[in-house]
Amino acid sequence: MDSAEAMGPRCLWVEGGVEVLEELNRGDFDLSEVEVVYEPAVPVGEVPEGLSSVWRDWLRFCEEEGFSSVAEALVESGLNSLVGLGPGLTPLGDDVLSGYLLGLRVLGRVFDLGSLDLSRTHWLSRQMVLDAAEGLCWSPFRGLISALLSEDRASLARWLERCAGFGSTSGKGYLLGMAVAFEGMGGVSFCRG
Amino acid sequence: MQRIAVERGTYFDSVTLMLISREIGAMEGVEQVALNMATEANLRIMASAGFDLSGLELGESDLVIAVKGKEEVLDRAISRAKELLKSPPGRRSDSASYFPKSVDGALALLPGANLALISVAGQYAADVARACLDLGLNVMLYSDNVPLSAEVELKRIAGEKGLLVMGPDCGTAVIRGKGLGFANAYPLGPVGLVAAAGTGLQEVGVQMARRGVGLIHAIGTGGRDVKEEVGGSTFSMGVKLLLEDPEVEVLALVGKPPSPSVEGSILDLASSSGKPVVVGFVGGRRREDAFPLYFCSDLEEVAAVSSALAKGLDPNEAREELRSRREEVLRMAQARSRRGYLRGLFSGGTLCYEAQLLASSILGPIRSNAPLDKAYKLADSLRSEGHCMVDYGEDEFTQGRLHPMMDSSYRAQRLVVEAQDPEVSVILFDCVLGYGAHENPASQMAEAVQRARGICGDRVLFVSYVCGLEGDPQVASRQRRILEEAGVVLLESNAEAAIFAAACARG
Repeated sequence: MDSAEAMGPRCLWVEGGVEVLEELNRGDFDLSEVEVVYEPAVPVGEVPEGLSSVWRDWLRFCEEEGFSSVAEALVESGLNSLVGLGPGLTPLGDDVLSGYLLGLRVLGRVFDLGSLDLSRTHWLSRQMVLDAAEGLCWSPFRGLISALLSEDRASLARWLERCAGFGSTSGKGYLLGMAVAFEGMGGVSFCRG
Repeated sequence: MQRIAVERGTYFDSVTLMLISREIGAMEGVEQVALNMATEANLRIMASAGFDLSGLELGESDLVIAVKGKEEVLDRAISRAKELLKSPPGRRSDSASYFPKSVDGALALLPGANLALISVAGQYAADVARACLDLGLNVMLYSDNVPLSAEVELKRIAGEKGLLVMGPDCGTAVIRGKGLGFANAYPLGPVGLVAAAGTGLQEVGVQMARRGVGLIHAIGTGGRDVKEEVGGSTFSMGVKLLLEDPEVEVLALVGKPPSPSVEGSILDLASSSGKPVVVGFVGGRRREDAFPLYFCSDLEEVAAVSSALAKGLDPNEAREELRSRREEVLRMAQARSRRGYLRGLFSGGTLCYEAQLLASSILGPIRSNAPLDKAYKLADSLRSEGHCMVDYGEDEFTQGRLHPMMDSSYRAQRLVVEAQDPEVSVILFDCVLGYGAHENPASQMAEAVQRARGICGDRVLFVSYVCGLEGDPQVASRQRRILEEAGVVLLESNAEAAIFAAACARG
């Protein structure tokens, strides 16, 4: 990885040389003492109502090809039914769930992970869901959330390009999940069509 | 040999069908391929292309896959087409980019936007346009098949709000040098244009660019705007806006002749201008210039006069140069003359109209599916009679199929058929370049010309004009070279091509 934009949920980019790496390995690393170029935790804040028409558009991803089973499961059986649902390295259901958890985290709300049976998906995807619940995500989504919270529309448009094109359908799944988190039950109802 | 397959109760958009046709057409042993939704118009076109569709019971939601060629390749071609329908070739994946799903969502991301370009099915277009007007947006309505009553209502609402509605059926416009819809790479310059004619706008823009003069704004109105029922509301608003714009030094007005009352009000408005206004209502009454109005008879003259005025030169000298050039074209035609019927195959409606006008002054009446005079309307657009010009951009050819500027394959097939008529001596066709147009239209037509030559030898003269610029995605010089290498005689404007072709056919 050679840029902040390529950073993942378990990546931290700090300025410094080998000494920093050694401190990190020893476990006595103090973030406040170094310059952090990138850290994957999303900021918390109020999503501006003036941009609600942007995230409400993301709900309409559930009308796209490949989303019907996920939308149906969400509406009929709730969040737990999304775990491991769909094909792909990270099943689309897990992407939507991760986006939802990330969205809640942005709003500063806590979700009880005990209500999800994460054993139904494989380890990599499970880790992605757990990371999202902690507010850790891929760089484009962090950029998008920062732009959203600061109402920086030009950056938001730029990050949306990156996020919507992330993976095959993963990016759109994340965005759909975030929109459901921001909209609450209204978002779930929308997916009913 | 032919093989026909039907996919029932399905729908594929015309871009997908074109891409698949192209891929199947490239298979060795395949001579002809057609993938069409089974509308009445499409079935007639397929039958005229030689496909035997007898005995098939088809509805409009059925897709017909038809292939001609060597027996051994036909089944493979059909299977491949079906396979491609499941996973269409060469389409950009939507996941690669983000498109807002609503006008509100788009406006939230682009709060400074003041214009919406609407391209949805005709029956929904008026509602979308109304919503955009309510949001304070000017509208370019690319969609066609919008009812006349809806157009009148939209333009009334827009007028009250001081907003523009370009269209319906507005295929091209230029806003501050940026082309919308079909547009060429015009340079930015001091001329403003209001046009009730899509390819008319393109031809004037291209001809001015060749004279080193650019456009700043070109407002398309849609062809119906200047009819009595609509009253020229967009045209008049466009004239007012551009006359008030200090960056517009010369204003040009282009279209077929408006209804008399609309023309009167447009000319009244233009007469009050302190800057020159070049009027090119092609086919209208020729009048004497009276500042600020300069009257022109064809699109190239509009461009020549506008360019001269923009450069501070004498427009009459520009006209004189044009006249000399056309005399030269007539002399060139004498050397290539061959008496017979002229057949014109056009992708541009205004280009077809202008060509009829100029050719009929040499040959007499020209029949067409979009004739100058209703008396000369073709009984069947797929069967030529006498001297004849067909506009392939008319609705009858574009329902469920791409506009010929995006795909000329049907026009190309017709060219081969026309060339086999022993009474035909000259075939004229346009080749329109620009954003939105086919990436290599010349090759589609050049292949057809070569096929026709293989059948008919040099009996038929092929004449064309490339309406495009070097900066266009297709690169005008490359397109010209492709046609020249196929033996097509190329002229420098649509008007010249029509005059040359008609003079050759007169003998």
